[in-house]
Amino acid sequence: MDGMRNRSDIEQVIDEHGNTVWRVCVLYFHQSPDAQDAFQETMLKYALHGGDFADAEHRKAWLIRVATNVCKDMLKASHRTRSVLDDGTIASSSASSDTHSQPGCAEGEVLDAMLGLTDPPRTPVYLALYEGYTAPEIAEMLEAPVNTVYSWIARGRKLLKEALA
Amino acid sequence: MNELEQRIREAFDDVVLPEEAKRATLEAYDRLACSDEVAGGPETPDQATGFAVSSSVAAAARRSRARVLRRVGFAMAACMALVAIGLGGFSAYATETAQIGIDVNPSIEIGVNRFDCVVSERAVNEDGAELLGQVSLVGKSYDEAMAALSQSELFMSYVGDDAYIEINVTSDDASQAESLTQASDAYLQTLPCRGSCHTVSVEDREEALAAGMGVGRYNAALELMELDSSVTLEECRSMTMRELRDRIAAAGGDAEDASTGMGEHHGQGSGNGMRGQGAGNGRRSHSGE
Repeated sequence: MDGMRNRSDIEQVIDEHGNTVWRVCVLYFHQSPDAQDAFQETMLKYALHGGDFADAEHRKAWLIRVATNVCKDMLKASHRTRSVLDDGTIASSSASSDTHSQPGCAEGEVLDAMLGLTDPPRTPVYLALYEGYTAPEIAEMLEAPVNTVYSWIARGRKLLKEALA
Repeated sequence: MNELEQRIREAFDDVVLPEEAKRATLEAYDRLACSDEVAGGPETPDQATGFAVSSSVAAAARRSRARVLRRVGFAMAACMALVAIGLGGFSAYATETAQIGIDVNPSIEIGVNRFDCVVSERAVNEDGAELLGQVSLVGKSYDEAMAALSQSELFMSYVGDDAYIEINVTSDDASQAESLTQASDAYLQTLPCRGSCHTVSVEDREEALAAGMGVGRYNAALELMELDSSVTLEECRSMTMRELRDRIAAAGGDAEDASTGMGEHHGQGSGNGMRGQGAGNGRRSHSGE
């Protein structure tokens, strides 16, 4: 199907990178319907993407970047009903239906702490601490100066330690 | 790996893509791919996203896509054009602008977008659920969806010579309602059973769905209950359209809709709103042959 990637391509990408993209969406919306919307939109952007990728890692980086942008765009959308605080963090109450965010759940504490960060440093510190990207790689993905990325990661680590202490 | 990284890894390792999200995404892809071929992709690799991941990658060779056009109906061409718009148009593509209720004994409802592409399907009763379990309509043009029903042995077993089918179209867009009603009526003429096709108001559809019934069955039930006060809505729920129409005729009801079992009878015409339902925004159209 010219102009659109075929279904097997989409299925393969979901199998290979679905969890990666999903985690980015959860980073913004917890495991909520908004996360599902963001995931879907990211994959459809991939389906409509007309360019080639240098390799699998490039495709993964592209997907992460697109998912991040999709999530940010959704946060800006005026019709979305979520509690976004003035500093850009997401109120944890918006994710109270997620089992991972139940009080006392270790994973929930970490997810809440991540969502409690402003962005940046939320996305850079996630990419560094979970996905294992280096600061130069993150700088390229986020189109930011590498020294700025180092600062974001350092600040993010400090804030997370304080939140999880 | 330090303790903080360990905790983050453990937390996010448990975060995996739910099957529901995967399924919904592939269904959305199928809807987007309603047509067999689409217009050429974005002119630049990043037109769909609006940014470049890496200048070095952006300069990589692009796959050139020939724009392939073929002779297709307007609805199919519209589907292709919408895909070329990209995700900005996807919201419009996925928006349901009309509903078509089909009542025989199975009751189902099809939702189509402004391009007459099926974007949703719903079962209104158990037989409808069984039918939709065997026939997939989402992602097809309305014409293709009707053809798919005709290819279903299960559906065709319901629309024999002695059956009665009602097709009801609802849309805020009067011209779409009209075109879908005409298409539905043309489809009726290909079936061996008797039937009728109507345009109904949004309010009437909502009232029928609130009662848990397809619009055709609900309207017929109301008609029968007016003529025979001993009949309950619950009884009507389990009747076939043929049974309802026969009971209506027997109770002295509207002969135009009544089945006589005398071969093909397909009607479409004009009437004056819903019975006893007050003023609505749509019109109920029906006439004899």
